[in-house]
Amino acid sequence: MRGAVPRAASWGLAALLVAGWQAAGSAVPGARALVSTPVLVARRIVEIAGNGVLWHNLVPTLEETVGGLALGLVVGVAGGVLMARSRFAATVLDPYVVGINGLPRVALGPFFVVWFGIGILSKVMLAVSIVFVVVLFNTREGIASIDADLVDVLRSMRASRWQMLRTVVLPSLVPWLLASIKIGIGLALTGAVVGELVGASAGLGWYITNSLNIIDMTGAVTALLVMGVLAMAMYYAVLIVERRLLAWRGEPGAGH
Amino acid sequence: MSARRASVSVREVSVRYPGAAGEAGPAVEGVSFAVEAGEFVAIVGPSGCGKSTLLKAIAGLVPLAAGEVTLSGGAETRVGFVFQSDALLPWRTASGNIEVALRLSGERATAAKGRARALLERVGLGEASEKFPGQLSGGMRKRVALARALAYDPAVFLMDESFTALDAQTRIQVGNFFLEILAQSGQTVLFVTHDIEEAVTLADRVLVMSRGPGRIVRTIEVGLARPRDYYASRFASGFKERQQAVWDALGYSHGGGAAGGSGGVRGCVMRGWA
Ligand SMILES: Nc1ncnc2c1ncn2[C@@H]1O[C@H](COP(=O)(O)OP(=O)(O)OP(=O)(O)O)[C@@H](O)[C@H]1O
Ligand SMILES: [Mg+2]
Repeated sequence: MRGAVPRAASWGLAALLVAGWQAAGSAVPGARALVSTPVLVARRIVEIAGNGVLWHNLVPTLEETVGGLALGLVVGVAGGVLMARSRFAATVLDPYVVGINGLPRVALGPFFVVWFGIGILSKVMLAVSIVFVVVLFNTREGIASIDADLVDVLRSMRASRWQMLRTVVLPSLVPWLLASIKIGIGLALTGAVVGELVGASAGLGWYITNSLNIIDMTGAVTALLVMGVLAMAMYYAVLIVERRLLAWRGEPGAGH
Repeated sequence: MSARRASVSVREVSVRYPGAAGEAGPAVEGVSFAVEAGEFVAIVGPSGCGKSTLLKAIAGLVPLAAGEVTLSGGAETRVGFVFQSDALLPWRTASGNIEVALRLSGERATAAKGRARALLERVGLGEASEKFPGQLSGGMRKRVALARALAYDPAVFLMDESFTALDAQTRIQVGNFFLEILAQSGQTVLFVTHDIEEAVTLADRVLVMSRGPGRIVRTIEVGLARPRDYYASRFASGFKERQQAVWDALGYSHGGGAAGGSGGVRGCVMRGWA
């Protein structure tokens, strides 16, 4: 389903939603104060893009998200590899991982702001705490599902540890890592923005709080929209990388 | 190119896989035989009797519960293992898969590309060299796997149903190509197959294994002249008698049933680790 028709339908739906929003916001009395309108939001975007306010708030959120995602990947992969390779480590750490996974980590936001300050670090840490568990689970699953025959083929040819890692283990994990990153983008953004809502001096989350404090609904909705666009842009960037890295799989349904 | 020659000695080898509830039944038990350098030995036996396990034990890929495997070339002896599943790296092209083996055999990266291509042409896959395994048919993948084992330039081939998925004509072509290489370089071969005719066509000796736990119940000397031909050797005088001897050993002669007559394969005892 990669044709022009579904793509056009997707844009059409977007146009319809925007039109409906505009109609509701301008026709229903009092609605503008609750949801603003697309025209107002568009004007605001042009305005804050011009005077630098947009970048001043977008850049910190982007840094927190990317930083949290990257660090979450490192921690998650390291933990996943450790727990997959060592039964001892798995037995010791399993209850903790399960516990952390069940904990609503947004509740850690206020703690992290107290511990790590209102700067970027508290948001990165919050993002990491949410992201790493998913990465860890995916890494363990990926290692468990490595084809034993592929390992045996390389072993029968006396491959070194490094050759095994490069030729079999890492390529086997690539699909799992890409899946982790795709899920992780939204999670990292959540961590970053919740951190900003709790306590910050800049960022899209801070912009929302600040706008609502001065009863500026257009500003709040604008920040929300920018977040959505940011998440989508990151997702599609990963998709482009994925298409190159997983070209061997071919189009779904075409092979196998 | 010329591989060092090596003999294989298997003494009282048993293999147990870890069972579900800690209980482990032997997949292979007390197997002993020796293969001289340059000899071609086929292994036949019912499904699940431990043929693949035995090859893996010889390659050192599964731990031995008992016994010993010795390759005369010592620990350095190169083994070319063609797995029952083709075991190709799905993210590498046909050529890329073979280059892995060439690099592991010490070939330079610059030379590997051309050599891989030449090998693929010899197994009739020159056109497919840039395709991924997922884009190849089962028989094509088997040939890539064979080419990969050849690329590693081993002294001993361990082949697990390597020609099974091929059509009759390709089978003759690839079979003869393989026989040609053996005639040139004199590698030792252990060849698992379900095709008794194929076993007799190719081998100097056929080992017949019994169902679980796998034991060797009979050895049939084939002793047909070499060079062999994957097709024409089936019509050599004495072929039918050898073929029948293998069927006999599998227990099919007495009254036409696989009843496990004297010396035949024992009835199936399913082990409880499914
Ligand atoms: N990795 C494994 N873990 C546990 N049991 C195994 C494993 N591999 C094989 N077995 C068991 O060992 C026995 C022998 O298996 P093996 O694959 O060696 O049989 P085979 O003779 O090659 O059969 P086929 O002709 O069907 O390929 C079987 O009962 C099988 O269930
Ligand atoms: Mg088998």
